[in-house]
Formats: sequence, C-alpha cells, structure tokens
Amino acid sequence: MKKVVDERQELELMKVERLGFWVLYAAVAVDIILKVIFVGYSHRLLLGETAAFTLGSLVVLVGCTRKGLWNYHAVPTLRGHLLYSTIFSVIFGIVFYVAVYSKNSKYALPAALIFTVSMFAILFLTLLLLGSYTRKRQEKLNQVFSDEDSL
Amino acid sequence: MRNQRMRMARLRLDMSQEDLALQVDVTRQTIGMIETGKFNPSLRLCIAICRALEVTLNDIFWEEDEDEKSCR
Repeated sequence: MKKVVDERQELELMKVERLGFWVLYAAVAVDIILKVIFVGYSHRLLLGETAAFTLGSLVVLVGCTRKGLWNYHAVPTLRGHLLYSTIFSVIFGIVFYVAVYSKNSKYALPAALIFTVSMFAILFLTLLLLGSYTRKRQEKLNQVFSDEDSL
Repeated sequence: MRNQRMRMARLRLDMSQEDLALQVDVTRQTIGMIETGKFNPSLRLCIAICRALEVTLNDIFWEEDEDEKSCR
C-alpha cells in the first residue's frame, strides 16, 4: 500500500504509536497488580492480560537486545544492574508484602523479605545476562558495517 | 545508496569509522550504516560529519541524477 504520509509525518506517527504502546503496557501491568492484590483474582483469570504483557515485553526485549540497544540514557553496566535490581526488587517486595498482609498472614514480613532477596537475585542475573548479550550484539553490529580491513 | 565519497573523505584524513563516530557523537555502527547506504542521517548529523571531515554537504551528500551528469 502506498503511503500518504511524508517522512516527517511518519516520524510523528511513530512517536504517537510509541506513546500508545507504553500507556497500554503500563495499564496492563497496573491492572494485573491491582487485580491480584485487591480483588484476589487467580492467575487463571488473568491469563489474557498476562499473555499480552509477556508478549509486549518479549517484543521490546528481543528487539532491543538484537539491535545492541539498552535504553535511551544508559549502557549496560554492573553499577546499573545493581541499582535497578535493588530498586525494583524493593518495589515488588513492598507490593508482595501488601498482598500477603491483606490476607492476614503473620508471615507477611519474612515472606516479603525472602521474596525481595529472590527477586533481587533473579533481576540482577537477568540484567547481567541481557547486558552481556547486548554488548556482544553491539560489537558484532559494529563489525558488520566496518571497513577497518581496508585501512 | 552507498556513500563512497564520505568514506573517501574519511580515509583521506586517515580517520577510522570509530574516530569519526567519536567526533560526531554517534556509534561506529551508525557511521558504517551511513557509508553503506543503510541509514539516512538527519541534516544536523550530515553537517556534523561534514565539519569533522572538513568538506561541504555537496562534497559528500549531493546525489547527481543522469541529467546533471550529462550537462557537466
């Protein structure tokens, strides 16, 4: 199909589509969290939202790492991995604590602590592996268009 | 379309893709993709590249069509 937008309009459309994706992504994430914590939905009832969220995550993850891209403002570093793992494991730990506490469990705090530490380990390892792969892809892509052999 | 003129201008200054990339604040991959015609840079980046290579926009980014070539 022939395009009716020029290159500037195409860039504007891409920005709008990008914003739309991230709004939808965040809304699905919040929807899943709220339904699990406050409504007590089981995972089976959230299968659709979970599948949509996972699919969106995979598309972004695979797309970015294959292109050797990390994010707009940073490259993969050990310090960054530690920082983001800590921040997000604490956030999810708090969410987990609220969810367990609301079910009147006396083990809410120890369970949340174990969850937080486990989440930190999983996130750190995942970031480490993804960061390493992203760097390797960036180096490989640098070579694809290189003409260093002719110098 | 491959940009051989950009590549020749860079080689004339004995500059690697990495050197040029550092000067214009992009990645080496981006320079490589511009030279192989796989990426169209913005005007701002074109100007930065021309400054780094000490040439004008015409020297490396103008594309002559067949009529212009035959008039010369």
